Amino acid sequence: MIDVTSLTKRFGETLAVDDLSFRVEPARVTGFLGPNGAGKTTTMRAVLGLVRPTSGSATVLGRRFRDLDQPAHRVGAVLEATSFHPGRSGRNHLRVIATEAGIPFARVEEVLALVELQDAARRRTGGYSLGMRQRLALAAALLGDPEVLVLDEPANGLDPAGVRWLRDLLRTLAERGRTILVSSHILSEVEVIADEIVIIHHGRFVASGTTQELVARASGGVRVRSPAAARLRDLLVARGAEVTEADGSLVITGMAQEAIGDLAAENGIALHELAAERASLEQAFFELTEGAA
Amino acid sequence: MRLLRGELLKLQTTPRTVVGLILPLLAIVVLGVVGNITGSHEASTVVGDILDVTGFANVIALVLGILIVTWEFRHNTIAGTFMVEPRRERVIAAKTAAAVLTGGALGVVSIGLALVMTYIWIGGDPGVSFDVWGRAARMVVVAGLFGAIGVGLGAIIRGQALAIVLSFIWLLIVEPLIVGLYDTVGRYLPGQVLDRLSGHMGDHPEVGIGAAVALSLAYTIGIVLVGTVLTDRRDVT
Repeated sequence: MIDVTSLTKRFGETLAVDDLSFRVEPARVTGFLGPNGAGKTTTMRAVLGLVRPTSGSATVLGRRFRDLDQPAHRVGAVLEATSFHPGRSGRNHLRVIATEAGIPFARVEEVLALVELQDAARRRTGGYSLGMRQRLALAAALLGDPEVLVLDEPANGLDPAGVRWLRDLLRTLAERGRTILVSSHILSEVEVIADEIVIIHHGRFVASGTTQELVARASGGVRVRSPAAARLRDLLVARGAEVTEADGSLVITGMAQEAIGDLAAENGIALHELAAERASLEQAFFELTEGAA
Repeated sequence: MRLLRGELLKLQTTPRTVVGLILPLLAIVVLGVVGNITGSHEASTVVGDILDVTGFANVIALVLGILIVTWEFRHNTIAGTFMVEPRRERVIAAKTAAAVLTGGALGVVSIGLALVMTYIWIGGDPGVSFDVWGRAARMVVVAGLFGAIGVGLGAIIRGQALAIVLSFIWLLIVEPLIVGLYDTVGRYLPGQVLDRLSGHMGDHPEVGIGAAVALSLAYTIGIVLVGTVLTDRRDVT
C-alpha cells in the first residue's frame, strides 16, 4: 500500500506538488495520470525517498521509504530508462544491485528470462535500444520480488508486443497481491491496464476512482441523425442543450438520450439514429484536467 | 559489507574506465624509473627518487575516488543505489572504503612495479632498506586517503569534470601559490601534509609526522563528512 498525505514539494519558487493526497491499494494496478509537469515524477520520487517533502508525507507499506528494512525486497521502481552505466553489461548491472541487496545471482538470471533479455545480457547497456533499457529497468525493479512496484512511464519505448507483455505482467503481479502504481502518457493503455486512476494537475489532486467511474463522468454526448436536423437542433438549443454537427449528425451534450428521443417524438420529428457515444479515458482526462486548470 | 562488495563490483564491471586510469599510471612509473636510473649519479638516492615518481598514484586515486561518486550522478544510477540502501551515509561510507582500498591498491601496484624494475635493472643491492619499505607503506596509506578525499569531493561537487578540474586547480595552482606567498600557512594545506605524510620531506621538514598524520586524517574525514551531509540533504531529481 502507498499513502500520500498532504504532500507538498517546493523546488525554490516552483511548487511541484501541492497538498496532494491519495492511496494506492494492493492487488490493484493504479494508473497515475497528469499532463507533463503535473508533478507525477516528483510524487513518485517522494514515495521512493529520493525527494524530501516540504511538508506532508509519503509512505510505503505504512513506513517512510528510508525506514523500510531491505527496501529492495519491498519496493521495486522504474524511474528512467537511461539509468545505467553505459560501459556495464545488462547482467552486471543487475548483479551489482543483487550484490548490494543481498540477492543471489540466480535471481538475476530469472529476471533476465522474465523480461526476455537473456540474449542481450552480455552486451554493454550503452548499445541497448530504448525498449531493451526499459526491460532491463523492469528486471531491476523485479529483482527483489517486491510487494510494491512504482513505475514511471514503463511502456515508453516498448514496441506493441512489449506493451502487451508489460500489460500481462502487471496484471499477473496485481492478481498475486502486488501494489502497483504506474504513470503513463499512453491513456488508451492505462484505460486497459489500470483498475484505478489518480489524476493530478499542477501538482494538485484532480480526481480518482475506478477507470469506469472516471469514464462515466466524462460527457460522451448523444449522436442523432434526422431528416429534420435543423428543426431538431433549434428545439434542443431552446431546451439548453449544446449541439454540434459532425459527419452529417448532431452531437448533443447536456441532455439525456431519453429526453432527446421524447422531444423528437413530441414534435413529430423522425430519427434515423439515436445513440449515446461512449466516452474514453482520454476524453475524461482532458475534461478533468482542463476543468482543474 | 554488501554495499562495499557492490562498490567493488561496480569498478570491476567497468574495466575500460579503470584500465584507462591504470595504464597512464603504469606508463608514468615506467618512464620515471627509467629516467631516474639512467640519469642518476647518486646510487644512494635513486630508490628515494623512484618512490617519488610513484606518487602519481595519488592523482589517479583521487580521480578514481571522484569517479566512484560522480559517475552515479552522471548516469543517473544514484537513484537505484539509494533505493537499495536509502540510508545515504552508508552508501558514502561504502564508496569511501572502496576508494581507500583501490587507492591503496594503486599505490601497491605502482610502488611494486617501480621497485621490481629497479631491482632487475640495478641488480644486486639497489638500496632497498627498511626505511624504503616504511616509506612505501606510508605512500600506500596516502594513496588510500587521496581516494577517500576524491569520494568526498565527488559527493560535494557531483559534476564529474568540474570535480576533477577543481581538484587539479587546487593541487597544481592554488596550493603552490599559497605555499609560495604564505609559507607558514601553506605548509599545513591538504596537499602539503599528505605529501609530508607520504615521507616526502619536500620543503617542509619542520611539519612533524604527528601533525602530518593528524591533519591528513582531519582533512580526509572533514571532506568526506561534508560530502555525506550534503548527499543526505539533497534531493535526487
